[in-house]
Amino acid sequence: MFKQFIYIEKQIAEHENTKRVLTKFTDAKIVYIDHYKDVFNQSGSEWRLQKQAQKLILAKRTDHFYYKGSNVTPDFGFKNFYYNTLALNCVYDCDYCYLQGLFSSAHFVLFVNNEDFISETIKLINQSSEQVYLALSYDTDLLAIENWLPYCKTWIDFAASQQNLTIEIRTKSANYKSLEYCKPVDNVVLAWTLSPQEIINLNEAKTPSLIQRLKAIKAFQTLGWKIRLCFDPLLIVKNWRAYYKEMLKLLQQEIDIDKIDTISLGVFRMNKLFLKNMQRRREDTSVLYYPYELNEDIYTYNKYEKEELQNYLIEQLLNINANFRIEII
Amino acid sequence: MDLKPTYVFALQQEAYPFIEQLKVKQIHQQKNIRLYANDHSFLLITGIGSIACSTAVGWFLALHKNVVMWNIGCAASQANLHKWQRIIEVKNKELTFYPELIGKSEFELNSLNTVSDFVGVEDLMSYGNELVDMEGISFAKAAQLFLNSNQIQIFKWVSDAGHKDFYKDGTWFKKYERQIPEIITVVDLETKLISTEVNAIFKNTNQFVSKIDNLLKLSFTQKEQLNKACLCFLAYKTELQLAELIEEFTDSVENISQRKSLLNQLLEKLRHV
Repeated sequence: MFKQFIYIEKQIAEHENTKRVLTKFTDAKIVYIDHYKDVFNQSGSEWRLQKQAQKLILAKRTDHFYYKGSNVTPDFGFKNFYYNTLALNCVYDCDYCYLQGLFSSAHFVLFVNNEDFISETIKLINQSSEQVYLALSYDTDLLAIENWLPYCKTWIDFAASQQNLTIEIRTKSANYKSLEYCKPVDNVVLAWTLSPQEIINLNEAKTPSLIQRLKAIKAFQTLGWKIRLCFDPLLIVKNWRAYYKEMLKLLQQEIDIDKIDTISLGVFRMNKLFLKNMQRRREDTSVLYYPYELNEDIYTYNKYEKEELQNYLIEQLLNINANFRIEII
Repeated sequence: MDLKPTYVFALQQEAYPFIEQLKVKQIHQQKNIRLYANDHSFLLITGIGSIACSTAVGWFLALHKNVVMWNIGCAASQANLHKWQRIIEVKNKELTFYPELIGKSEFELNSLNTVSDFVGVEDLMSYGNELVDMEGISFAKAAQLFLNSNQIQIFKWVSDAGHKDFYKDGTWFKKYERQIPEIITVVDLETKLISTEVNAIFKNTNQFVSKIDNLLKLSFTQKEQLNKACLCFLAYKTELQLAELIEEFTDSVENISQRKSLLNQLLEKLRHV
């Protein structure tokens, strides 16, 4: 993150969360702006160059405090599957990330008016007859920025008071320390996206190593948290079988694998338009140039490759524990 | 593709020490617009005011796209007199542009306000410690029609605090030119950095696709497939290795009657590095 200056919407300049974030960027010059889109949607932005010097924009979200989940995301059997966007973009830099195709800018927008997200979520829960499943860390990785603004903690506390709400916090972060003193909550799922270290080296820039993620999982397991493992996206690279096998071996060594709540796995899949945007923006990663097949506007591996990848992982996982709850996307 | 730095000034006086130090030669003049160049830089003088600036910038960029444009020159402010400032926001009453910095600036950062008339001491107070000039936003908005936002950068030197005649005693010039070598160094380094980053993102596979096209007479879709497969290969291997593989393939082809199958063999090799 580029820390020399920060853009702040004038309307939230005095917001408590703005002040809180600024304590982490004490030397930064502040540029006051009318609306985050003035910077975020500025024409002629070069995505990859912006990512190299990603700027922070503090803003107020005025609508769309949650969205209905899309058909390429796991819903874990919940009909009321939603996600919210407390931030746009991510501090990590994964080659396969759809955000590169979704947004025209790589800058990091953090919405500070969490109280509005909470109040709108309360309305949603009250309107719903069934349990609401809300994925929090959707277009971002909230645990990775918990030190700037304790959104995970705030939402865990909120979920603890809402019986009809289940929240998922998905992350690649190893930031165990910032939730160390939070008590586990039944309707909160901490979900880690895991990849073999070779794929992390190749495609997941700026993310913690596999072993760091596993150590964080272990620490949360010890505290009694419900943990989900997400092998998503599964990628075909040279020697992929050996890499995934090695990863699962490491999992058995480092975490209490029998205590894992659920596992989700999905092969690389990408909205047609997003992939086109991503290819226009960068030519430096093989992930985007694999000969995927197009099916209902989604690019993914062909049927044979998809089955081979999925079946291999499922077989290996069931060899470890035949009772794993595995959701395939 | 290497991007060239282009120094853009409103006035000849502002440009003069840069012309001297860069050793650029005039290659074009049309009324107030003057263009200078050497092997690795351009220097453009636009004339004063929004219309002159945007016209000159538009004219230049219609001819030259592979550049990073640096607007450099004097501005007024009630603070930071005789200091160089790096601009991170440029605006007038209707428009705003946010230059994209790709590295940490050693120069102080500031906002620049573009006005259409001279601003005196009293009026300058309403801009706080920000800067005021007469071209900045026109420069940026004209350039934005042709370039990515990373290729539009601004440096300003605080020449006065609303004193129109600051230049008359001639003493300003010595202060102005003092840090010019540092400005040129930053311009050169950042332009190179932007070039390097852009070259890392975008690969040129045309020569390889053309070579195979000459041999196998590819359709548009096949060229696209080959281009993507080359990019897949280049994510792991060097351009030299790609050239060797293409050479090896073209040497091995004896009969081109099975074009499709030959192409598929090559695509497989490229994709599964």
